[in-house]
Amino acid sequence: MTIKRNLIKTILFILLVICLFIYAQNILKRNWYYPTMIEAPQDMMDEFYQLTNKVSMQAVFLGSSISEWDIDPMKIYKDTGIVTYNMSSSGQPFPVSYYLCKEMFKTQSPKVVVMEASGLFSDSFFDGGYHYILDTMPLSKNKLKFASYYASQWAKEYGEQKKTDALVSALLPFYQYHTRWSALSQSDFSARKQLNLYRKGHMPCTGITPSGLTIDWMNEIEQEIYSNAGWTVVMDDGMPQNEINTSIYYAPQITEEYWDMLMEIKQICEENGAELLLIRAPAFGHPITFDGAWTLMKSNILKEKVALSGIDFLDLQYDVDLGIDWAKDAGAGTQHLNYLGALKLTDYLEGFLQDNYAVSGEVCAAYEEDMPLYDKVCQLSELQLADDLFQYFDKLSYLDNITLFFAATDDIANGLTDEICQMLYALGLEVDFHNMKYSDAYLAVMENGVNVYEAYSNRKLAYSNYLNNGVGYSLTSSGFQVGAEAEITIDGQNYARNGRGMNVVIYDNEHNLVLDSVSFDLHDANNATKVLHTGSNDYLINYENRLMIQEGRNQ
Amino acid sequence: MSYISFAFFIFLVCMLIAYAVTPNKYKWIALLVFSILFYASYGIDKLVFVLATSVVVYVAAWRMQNIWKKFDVMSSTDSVTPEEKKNLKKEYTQKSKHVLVAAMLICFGVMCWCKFGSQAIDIFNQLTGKNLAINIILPLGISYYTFSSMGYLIDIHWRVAEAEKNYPKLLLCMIYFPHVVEGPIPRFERLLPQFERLTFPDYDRFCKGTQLTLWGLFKKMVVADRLGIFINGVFGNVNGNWGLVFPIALIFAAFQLYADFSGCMDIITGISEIVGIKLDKNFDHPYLARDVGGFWRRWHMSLFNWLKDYLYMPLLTSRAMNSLRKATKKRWGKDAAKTIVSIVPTAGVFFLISFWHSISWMTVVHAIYWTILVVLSSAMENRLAKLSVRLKINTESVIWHCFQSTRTFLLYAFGFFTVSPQNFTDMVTAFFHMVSKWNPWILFDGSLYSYGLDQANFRLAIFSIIFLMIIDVFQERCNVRDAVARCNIVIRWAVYLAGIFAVLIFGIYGPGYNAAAFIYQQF
Repeated sequence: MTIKRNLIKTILFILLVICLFIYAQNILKRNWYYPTMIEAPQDMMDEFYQLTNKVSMQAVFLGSSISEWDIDPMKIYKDTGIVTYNMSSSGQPFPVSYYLCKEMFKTQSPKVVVMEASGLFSDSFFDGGYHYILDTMPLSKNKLKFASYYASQWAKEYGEQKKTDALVSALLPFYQYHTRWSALSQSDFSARKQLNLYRKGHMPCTGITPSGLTIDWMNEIEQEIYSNAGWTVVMDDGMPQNEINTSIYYAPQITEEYWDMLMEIKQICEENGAELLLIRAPAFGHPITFDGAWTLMKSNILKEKVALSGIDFLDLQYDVDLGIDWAKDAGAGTQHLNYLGALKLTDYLEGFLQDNYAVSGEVCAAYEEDMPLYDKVCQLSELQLADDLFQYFDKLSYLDNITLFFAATDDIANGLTDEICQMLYALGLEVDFHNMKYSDAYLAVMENGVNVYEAYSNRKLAYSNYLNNGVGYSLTSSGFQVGAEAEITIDGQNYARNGRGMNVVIYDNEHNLVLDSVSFDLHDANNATKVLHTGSNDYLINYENRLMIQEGRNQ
Repeated sequence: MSYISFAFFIFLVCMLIAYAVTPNKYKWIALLVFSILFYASYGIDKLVFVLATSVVVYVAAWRMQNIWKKFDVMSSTDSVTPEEKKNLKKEYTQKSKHVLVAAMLICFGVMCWCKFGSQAIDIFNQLTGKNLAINIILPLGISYYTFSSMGYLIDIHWRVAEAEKNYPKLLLCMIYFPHVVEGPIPRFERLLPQFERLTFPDYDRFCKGTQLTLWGLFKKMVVADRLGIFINGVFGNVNGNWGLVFPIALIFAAFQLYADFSGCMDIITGISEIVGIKLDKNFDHPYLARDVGGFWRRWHMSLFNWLKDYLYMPLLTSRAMNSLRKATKKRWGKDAAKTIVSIVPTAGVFFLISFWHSISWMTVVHAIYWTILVVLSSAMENRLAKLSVRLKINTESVIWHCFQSTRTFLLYAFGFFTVSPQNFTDMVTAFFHMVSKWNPWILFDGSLYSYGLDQANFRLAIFSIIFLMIIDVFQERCNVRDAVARCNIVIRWAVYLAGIFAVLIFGIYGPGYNAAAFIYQQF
């Protein structure tokens, strides 16, 4: 009897420990999901497993953040009806693509597997790139092999004695993340809401980081470096400077181990009736400081190699003119494309897939359900990236239940043309803009199409009130001669861009968040219609997060 | 295979399963097999040394036993006169001594070669300008099994112990996996009988053993390894650090060593308790000791008892010391004679301990420091007692006890100047950097968080030290383990769960850390 009682107590205690362990692990585990991490591999994997029994994917994309930002499966579906999924993730090392490919084939039979090739040239060990996927992949034989491979890579990097630690950490996140106890915040203790995932692995971006560099510049630098073995790079304010007789040696080459993995992937694809397409998305930068820089030399090396192996290769930088405008279409330097760039690349790729592979459009209920959310994000993305004042306000018509806040600073009278005035009147603004003097302050609030407040003055203006949903706001405006400052504070936070001219903040009354903040330099008559953006992606991220949490698929 | 590694956890589970299914009579064989496996995990080549030593010890023990048996037979015959008996004893003692000395020379010789061979070759190369290179293997726990087996042989020579007939059991005594890494140095006569009455499983023993193991893991993984990060940050760059950071690091170093060493003892004592073996106590709350003599009676007790029995006492009672005692007593009196006579054995003990750790100028300073402190403490004991009476100090008050313990602890912590720096130059530099700058602001301006422990981890380190000492104080007065075990199930489980998750969450382990080996493992 005593033995039985002790046995029961022991089992109960062990069960209790296991339950608490799982609970603690969930709290301590790093959050690889949205919006904690904008490139949310957790969401990508969760959505894949959610969809995998509902849809039949015709194409799957694998690769690093380059393909994650650049390829939009929902656009492909919307345009062609072809169901695709993007399994790319931030810093995805090539071996991770290999194991993800195997994972994908367990439940899917795509016609084509599209792999972004940048990982082939990089053999540096990036721990995060492995953990993003390892931490989110359910336990399976494939995961065990993946974890074992990861441990061997870790051992190569940090010593053989750490191999067991790495293996355990790959299978048991607690082992890796228990040290996060000192960094825990409220969000770690909140149960994660059931999200309405709709992105299909794509990472949309509305940030703009214009670049003055060119692809030709990159290739010239590469030639110079390559012709002087022994060149090095001296970092000067973040930009590399060349200096002879130093130690860095540059010679791009494909990592043999990864090439063998690629050949295995080709074989796996063949065994599963799929074709393999290797692509390289546009990206450039200094060849030494940016590992993913797609140089002509790398392109030629890869082309030579694929020609011998019979793998299809599509070079979207050198063989195709996608019409990328690097001043507008890049979202993170010259390494990733933003929404506009991704539209161009995806547009070409969907046509290429249709023309060259046995993919065909169909109606997919799961993708159709997600389309309203996707459309909303597209509408906001287009608004956030519009570069013309008339286009910008025109796109506002797509948004419901919003409040527009206007606050002038410095001067808006100089550049106010009749056309602009008419457009402002069309929005519902009523003051006599033609009578405005140089340096007048101006404030306006348009809540859901209703003109709540509007005034202009040669003195500083201030106004505060509450929206119908109870959120407080305050605005200030002052012309050049009385301070030249604009503030649009909503719920305690100032969102005004405070650029010369008219500052506009668009607020979503339904989701209680700012959708965009821009300014128009209405003082400069020549550039009055140019939209000046913050360049940040944050407003889109917040909006997407709110959509994923609040909007049901069927709404 | 470290006691705190994941591999050891798996090893332990497998061992306990195998141990549980083995019949009680043969459980010692299961322990032997797993001890050999454990030892072999550090390298098969190292196993050769311990096997060779065990054979030497086994043969020498039997040889001595036979010599004494022969003596017994010869001396027990009626025809032997007391004078002849005395001569026989002298003769056989000599014979036994020859065997003992031969075995000791072999075993200590191997130990010295393994421990100091590399250093000797370096010195030889420096002196001769040659480039002699020999790969010397350092077997795991060589000092522990050599000391313990030599104690066993000496006991047989002194006729206070019997030689073990069963060689595998003797081997198990030497390489029993819980004590082979850091001790405690076992007394075979206490260990061997326990192999005869092994049972498992036992629920109460299992609970209490697990409880102790958990406490040991807390000490090692939460306290010691966390403090180690700070200490390495300070003493890893003595040239760049100044002032008060050194005393803080010294205090941390003292707690680190205690938590590390006693933590290891708790882990292995707990594991042994689970399998039904009681190991000798190695620590008895040393930081509560009120004088340095008391401190060393509570610290690494198995080593100090070994040294007391086989070095200190034989030296103290030797003819030379007796002559010295008589001479000094006549000239300076009883107290002075006692003090003077104690200097040589005390110095012998501390020099041996210091050189056992390593041979360097730092260890010489270490030995001198402790010899002076211990001798002075003993010499001043009576005078200080008289002084406290004159000053009307209540020597039984808690405050006075705290003062004495703190004083003893600080003296011990200060001694870490001879341990924590990497070499003699660093030791001198650290000392001068400490005394040449008064920078109390580092206690408040966040500078202390730049030595590897951020604010949260630093606070946790302080909190865990306080917690450790509170438990020590309670343990000194009552049996905390029994008290926890007697609590109702809710409180008991809450305590155990808190312990488990404190180790799991706050422990220093995982791929991001180089899990520190137990400090005394290297000795």
